[in-house]
Amino acid sequence: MPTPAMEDILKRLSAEFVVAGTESVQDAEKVVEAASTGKRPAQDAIREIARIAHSLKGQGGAFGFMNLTLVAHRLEDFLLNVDSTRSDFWADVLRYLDRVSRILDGEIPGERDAEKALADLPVAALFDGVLDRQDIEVVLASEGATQNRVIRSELEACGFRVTVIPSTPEALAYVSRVRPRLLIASAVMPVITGADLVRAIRAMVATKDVMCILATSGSEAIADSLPKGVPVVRKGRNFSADIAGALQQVGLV
Amino acid sequence: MSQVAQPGKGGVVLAVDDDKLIRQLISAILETAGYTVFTAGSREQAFKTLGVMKPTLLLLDVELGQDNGYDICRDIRQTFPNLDPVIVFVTSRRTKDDVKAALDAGGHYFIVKPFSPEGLLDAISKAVIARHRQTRQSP
Repeated sequence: MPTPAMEDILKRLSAEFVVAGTESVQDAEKVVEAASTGKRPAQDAIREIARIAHSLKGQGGAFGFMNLTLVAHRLEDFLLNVDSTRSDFWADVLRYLDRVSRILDGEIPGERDAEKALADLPVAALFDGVLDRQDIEVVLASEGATQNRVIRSELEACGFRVTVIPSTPEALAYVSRVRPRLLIASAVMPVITGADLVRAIRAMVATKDVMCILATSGSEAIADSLPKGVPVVRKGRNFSADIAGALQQVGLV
Repeated sequence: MSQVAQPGKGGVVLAVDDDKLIRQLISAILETAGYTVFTAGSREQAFKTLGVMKPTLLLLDVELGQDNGYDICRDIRQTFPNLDPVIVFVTSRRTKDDVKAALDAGGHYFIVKPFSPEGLLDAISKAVIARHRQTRQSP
């Protein structure tokens, strides 16, 4: 536990973070303004805003603003996965920055009500030029970039919001806070295996209702060790069909 | 084992991070825990401080501006072969590739941002244990 002296220091640093974070958001808004009016190249602007989001993500949780970390994580994901030539791209980036500001201002809690902090934010689900805003979040805890692209496109084709987290400890923390509708975990993961992640999620009271799917290329035996109702999806040629079947099994399509 | 920093038992720490607030946070946590803490915001500052202060524990940001923490770690090992500090990488992600890169570069443990005071001290303890095991296994 932090000592009273450390608590004082953390309190002071937290106040400094609010000031610095607000300045960072203002800087990012200026970058958006320049990019949206053609005064700055889009990719250059995206890199700069992603850098700011990355910094806020790291600082937020450390200074008592875990919800800000979650929003900044989503903003990074959005910047990396959405086509910046879309007409409302910069307006959507501003919506993220506005949400960060509201958390820093105290209008939205920094630590509680993660769902409120993330509600209605634009997401990286792009089909036929239409951004889908369906409010069902799916967390994909998996490492392989190629595999993630495949799974992501399958899920986005169903209209889900997808957040990719390539680390199971981070996925565990994220799912505990955000409580998405569905978690898809890759079985072979370092630190915490996908199966252990699923078991942990289903064992916690706060997350027991999060639907889970395990994606594996291993043996059938793993299904027996999972909580009841957790489908196992085989990676391979029939992966798309298997994902669709698993989504039906958990009642999401 | 060399005089490795342990919470409450002193030890000299160098925290390298390009984020001023994170440097201040690390200093606050570790000074309260009994360490003597120096900070650096860049690779150049880190090398200057390393040569003078000879820290026993190094906290190294993986994404240090334009520099890569793993490369800096390798350079430190080459430039200061007699220093041999316990090295904890501070990163915002912990994938399989990150873990491998950290170990290959000579790191002992990871801490993922955002971290709590307890999380930071726990990561340092685990790094010290990892380093101790490594030392015992060395011929």
